[in-house]
Amino acid sequence: VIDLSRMKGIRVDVAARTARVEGGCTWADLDHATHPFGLATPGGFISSTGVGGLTLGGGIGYLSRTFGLTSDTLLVDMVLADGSFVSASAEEHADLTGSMARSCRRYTRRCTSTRSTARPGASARTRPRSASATPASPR
Amino acid sequence: MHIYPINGAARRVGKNETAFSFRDASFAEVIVGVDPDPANQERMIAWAKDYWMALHPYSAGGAYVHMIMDEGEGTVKAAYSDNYTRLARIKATYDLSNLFHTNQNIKPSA
Repeated sequence: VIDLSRMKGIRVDVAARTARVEGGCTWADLDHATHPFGLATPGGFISSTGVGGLTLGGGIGYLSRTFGLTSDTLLVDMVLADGSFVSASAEEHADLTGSMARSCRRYTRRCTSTRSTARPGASARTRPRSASATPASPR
Repeated sequence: MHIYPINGAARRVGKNETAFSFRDASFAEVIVGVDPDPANQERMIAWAKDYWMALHPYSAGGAYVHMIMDEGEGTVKAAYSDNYTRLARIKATYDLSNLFHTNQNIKPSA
């Protein structure tokens, strides 16, 4: 077990509406960082949950009706099993990207899926959505 | 017992577009048996299992991967449903030795 709890870095890119989140961050950390900009990413139901872990399993939460699962918003940098570092995108490692992730699909449809190759050691860039958007009607 | 809705935007993604398969399920459910007195452990376990058994006929047949315990490979496969084969193939591409296995594990399979 590698303790990532001190890896608390979060960088919010307001123009791009993305946040780069290190592996030790909880949802409380991420919400705290994005809230001043009126941004939020769909998380879970519990603020002490880790961002990386929740994302890799899907991520059903309070904002899912409006913005989807956490993993639907994911852009990923990750450390692979062989120790190499990759940024998965629609162009590179598209199979990895789609896995965790669907956001790349907004740019291309070539993404497929995987999980469990990404590790908490990888940072995750999530795509915060505007918290002030009109909520969609529940279905 | 908690039930969490899966609807709205979460449904507007194809079930094979990501690893998460149950886009058309109505709810994810979690059953937790908790009692402050350890003497009640067996009773609580039995209650939780009975609850699951009673509801299971109405299940979509899988699970939300965050809400399963150590339930074996069959439950993991059920959680990923028909995405599992594709995920196992990708796992074989990137982690053939299954280094990352202390999780609800998808076993590498080419």
